[in-house]
Amino acid sequence: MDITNLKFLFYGYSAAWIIITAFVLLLVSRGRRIDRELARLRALVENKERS
Amino acid sequence: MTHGFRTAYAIARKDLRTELRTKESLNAAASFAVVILVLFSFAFPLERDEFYAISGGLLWLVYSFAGALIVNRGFARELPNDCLDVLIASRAPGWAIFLGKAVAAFLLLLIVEFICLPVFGLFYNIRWTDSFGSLVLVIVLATWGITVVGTAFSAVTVNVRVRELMLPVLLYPMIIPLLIGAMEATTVLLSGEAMAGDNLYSLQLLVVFDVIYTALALYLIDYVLVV
Amino acid sequence: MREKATYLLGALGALVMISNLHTIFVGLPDDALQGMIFRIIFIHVPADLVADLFFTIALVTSVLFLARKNFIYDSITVACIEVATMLILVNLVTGSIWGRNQWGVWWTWDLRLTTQLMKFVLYMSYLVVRPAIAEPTQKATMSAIIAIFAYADVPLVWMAIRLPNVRTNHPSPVLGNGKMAAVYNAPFGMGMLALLLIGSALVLLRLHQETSQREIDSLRRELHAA
Repeated sequence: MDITNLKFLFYGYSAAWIIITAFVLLLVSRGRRIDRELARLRALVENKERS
Repeated sequence: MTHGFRTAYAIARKDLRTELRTKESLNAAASFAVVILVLFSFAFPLERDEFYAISGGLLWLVYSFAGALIVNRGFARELPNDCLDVLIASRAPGWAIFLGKAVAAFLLLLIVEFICLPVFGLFYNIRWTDSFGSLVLVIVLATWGITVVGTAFSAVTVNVRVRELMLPVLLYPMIIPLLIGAMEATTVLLSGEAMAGDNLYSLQLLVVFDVIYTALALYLIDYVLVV
Repeated sequence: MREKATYLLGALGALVMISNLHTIFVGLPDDALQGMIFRIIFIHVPADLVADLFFTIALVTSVLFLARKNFIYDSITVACIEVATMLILVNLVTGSIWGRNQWGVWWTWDLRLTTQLMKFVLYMSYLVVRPAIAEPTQKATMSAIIAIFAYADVPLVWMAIRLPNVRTNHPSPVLGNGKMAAVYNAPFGMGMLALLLIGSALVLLRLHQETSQREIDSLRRELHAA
């Protein structure tokens, strides 16, 4: 089998995986930010209610 | 139903009258369209015969740019003094408000288009009078498609912060099939071919697009206006 | 609990994917005409099919939102559209690389390619416009309407591209008409399953974020009001 064929197969699968991984990383980082913000706001609301 | 159509007529007349008095978007759209027409002659330095092949494309790009300018004003015009809220609170049904605005935008865009058409023919030495009847049919069908989708999105984006930016982002991808059909049909007509046989397919596409989006917009507009 | 289910789905999907990769690369004979490169079909086609499934779910939930005004439907819509748009990108990029190898060009204005690109652009505009709308009810309503309009556009694009007698380069479908050798069926099904599982996990993850975001917004309003 000629080598360019294999090369493009490799490119294809790498590209697919890179896109999916990038998307997952994006989701995870956004999720972290949201969780942090949620915790902060919950603490704020609690403090306000106590005082 | 008749009440709705009367309301639509009243709104269309009101919009047209305001626009013809102030000529806000009309002037902007027409002069913008002419400028684009001039620029295209530098963008495509072609021989006269070659221009026929891209004539439909040129014309519809210009028309869709002008269309975005016109429909942008549709619902935005009602924002000052909370006119939009009053319109929505009035007895006028949502679809009638929408229909009136769409018809007004449609007529305004037609005016701009028929100003541009002779300019276009003149600049590019294109004979457009031979197949004028069919050309009018194509222009009417495609313009209605642009204005119906455009007015619907003008209602969707009316309360968005960067309205002027978001409308084209939504509008252009959505009307791509319509523009493809219109460009194809116009090129065929300007090149002197008959609108028959396979060429009719582009007209069918325009009709299908118009029917689907008019129905969708009239049906969904109540959700857009009353939130 | 839900979080665990999400991760379980994702892990399961990854597992299926990896075991499938073994089948694809080690177990399968090369294609008679294309050689090795045909193996891209096992991610190229499932990506599109799964994306279309999610787009359809998004259409249904958009209509449901307009009918019932329940924000959960809006959250499902945006989660589905985001993941599906990403999958369309996977489909486009893998297809483009395959095209470079088989046709010698990265891109051609063919029926399927153009439709696919249009889907991508249409739903990107949904994802771009959505954050620009501030008020929550308005945001959800307008998003639902854009999603419905976008879905209606896809068949029209399909119709439009057939116009200028386009000569298509794209291989005709091999699914469900017995054109694909039986030996490829199993890895293809596994590829579908893998992307379906991973995609669902991502949608659930995104959905969870959307509900958290909504809670953040309401807490913010509460704090402002107090």
